[in-house]
Amino acid sequence: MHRSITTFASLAFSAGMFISGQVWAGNQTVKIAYEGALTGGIAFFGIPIGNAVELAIELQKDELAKQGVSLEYMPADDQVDAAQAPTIARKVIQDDSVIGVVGPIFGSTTNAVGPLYTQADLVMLSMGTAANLSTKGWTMFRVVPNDDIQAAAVADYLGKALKMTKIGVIDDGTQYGHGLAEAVKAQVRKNGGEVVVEEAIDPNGDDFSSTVTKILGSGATGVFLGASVNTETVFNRQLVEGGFTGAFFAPDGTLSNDYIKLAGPASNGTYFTSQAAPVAAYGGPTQGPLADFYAAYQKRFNAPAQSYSAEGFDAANMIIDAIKSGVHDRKAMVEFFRTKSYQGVARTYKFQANGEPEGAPSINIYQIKDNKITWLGLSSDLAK
Amino acid sequence: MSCFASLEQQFLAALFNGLAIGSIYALIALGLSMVYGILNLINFAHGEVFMVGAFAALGIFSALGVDLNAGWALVTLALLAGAVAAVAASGLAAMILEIAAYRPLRRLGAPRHATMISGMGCSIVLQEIFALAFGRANISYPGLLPVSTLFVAGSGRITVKMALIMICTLVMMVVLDWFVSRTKSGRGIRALAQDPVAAELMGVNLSRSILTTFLIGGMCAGLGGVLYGLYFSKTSYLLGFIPGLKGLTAAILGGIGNLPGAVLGGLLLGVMENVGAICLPAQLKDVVGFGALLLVLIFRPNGILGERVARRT
Repeated sequence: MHRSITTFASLAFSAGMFISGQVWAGNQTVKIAYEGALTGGIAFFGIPIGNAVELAIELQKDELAKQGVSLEYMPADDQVDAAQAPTIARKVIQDDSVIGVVGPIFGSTTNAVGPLYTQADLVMLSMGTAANLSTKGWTMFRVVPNDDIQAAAVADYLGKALKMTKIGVIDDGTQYGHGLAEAVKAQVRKNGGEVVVEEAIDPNGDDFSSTVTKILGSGATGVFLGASVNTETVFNRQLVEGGFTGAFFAPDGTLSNDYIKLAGPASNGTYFTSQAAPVAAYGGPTQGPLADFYAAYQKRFNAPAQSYSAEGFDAANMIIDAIKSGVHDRKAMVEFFRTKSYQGVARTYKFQANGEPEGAPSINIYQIKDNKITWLGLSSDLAK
Repeated sequence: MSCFASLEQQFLAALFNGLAIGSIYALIALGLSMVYGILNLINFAHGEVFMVGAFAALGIFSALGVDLNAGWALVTLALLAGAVAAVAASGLAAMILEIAAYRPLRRLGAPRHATMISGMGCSIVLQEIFALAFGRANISYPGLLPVSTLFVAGSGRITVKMALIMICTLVMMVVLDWFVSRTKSGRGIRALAQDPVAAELMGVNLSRSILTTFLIGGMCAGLGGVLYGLYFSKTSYLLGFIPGLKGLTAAILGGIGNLPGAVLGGLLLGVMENVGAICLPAQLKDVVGFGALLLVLIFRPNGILGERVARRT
């Protein structure tokens, strides 16, 4: 009996949702969804992005209320699990008041839900960086540069800023690491450099001494390893302890303070590339719009903003901008992103037809100095 | 660069690196070989016994909070305390394994493959317990050893860490050799390995000797664990998986049940992997190791020094 009442109630509830979603006149409710990890192992990364979306909505709510729009935040927790993501995406799609989605935040989840959001004409402002996501004709707009651009920045920095010509490129054989390594090699060769060592290492192993020996024997002055933080740090230690004194580059996925703990003193001097705007803890700007955003975030959530918070804030604000300019349905929202540009706190956003950022977006370069992550600047300024 | 030019240039580096990691393989192989020698059983949880040692030493290092700046006397004391903890914890873990996972099955007369599965189960259980307690990410070791080089020959370098690994392994082997050839328990274990029925008739306590074998083998693995942790400055719940596999390979390569064979197998495997990787991609390192094992087994099916196991019927 109890069960049937609950079923009835939930039926009535969903029917109510359906009806209210259809009504667009008068005081309308419009929702911005955030699909990302709010629980689980990646929550440390996903929550600050969700917070930034929520903050953007809170800051603009009153102004939109004057236009008769009641703006709401809809968190959609996919735990960055590609198996769960489609179920979560369907829930978002079924709610007709959702006008745009910030997320998914990883390439794997974007890949899993891309067709669903596209079918529903719903924009997704993805933070996944796998280069091939933009080849599928989805309603995806990538608010961060993809991994090919990141890899090119590594090669450009080594070749143009550090004037290195002999480069070792290693990867862990995963889709992420190998994809980056291939793109680094291509750009090194394009810049006239030489890839003197290229090989894959076993991400489950710990003994990389044979690869270190090869690097030292080859005379490579710059080394890039595309891997996850566990492999990257063990390798970094062995490379430096083995006597390597050149420049070592690690990819965006490894940029965190844990890196310093795991790689120890050997991490001093290690370079990172990252698509994410520099946070305050990594030497980000102390004034200007980005710093203002960080201050507002700190005030609202009593914790500092993290990587991609600024991009999440910008993504939500772009959707809000569209609503303000009179966009009231999903199709028009997609059209808005295809044609308009937006100046955010992290960067300027303008998209190509395939959803990639227009032009050659710059990548942030970081380095560990005195056991602290330091922002060096934008690749476009550093490697000319 | 051609393969031969690389070989010439990098051979010494590969040799020294191979001897260092091979010493650790040897320490693992010893325990596997001893247990196999008297029980004809491959202890599949031996890699986790090794991992327990690495964690125990890290516990001591963290509790003491000593690092390189503390001066050599304190660092040496901390290292000794860590090594003792690792050896004790791994020895204990191996004994518990014997009592909980192997002895009851043996008493019930379970077939040998059932015992093997029981070992694999324990291996997964131990991994998951450590994953739950300490997380799945790597945990770094404090910097207790200087990264300086002691000795250079061509491209090869012996660092402080590598020297420590080789010296500790050598000491452990000398102690082990003394134990099995000179002490009463050691002689009992050897007697059991040669002829269990006769040994028991002569008054060797079977259960106690088996337990001692697990203890000694576990202690070797524990020493290997702390050395591995110091060498790579890390530990993790999966730390024992690959070294355990390499230790088993080394034991079979040298002739399982044969203690000098285990050491020879470990060192050879380490050197072959590293020398082989000069000309081949690093990912094929394991292929070199296992390929060599296959070759050796074709010509010497009982391993290089030959098998020495109990004549069980």
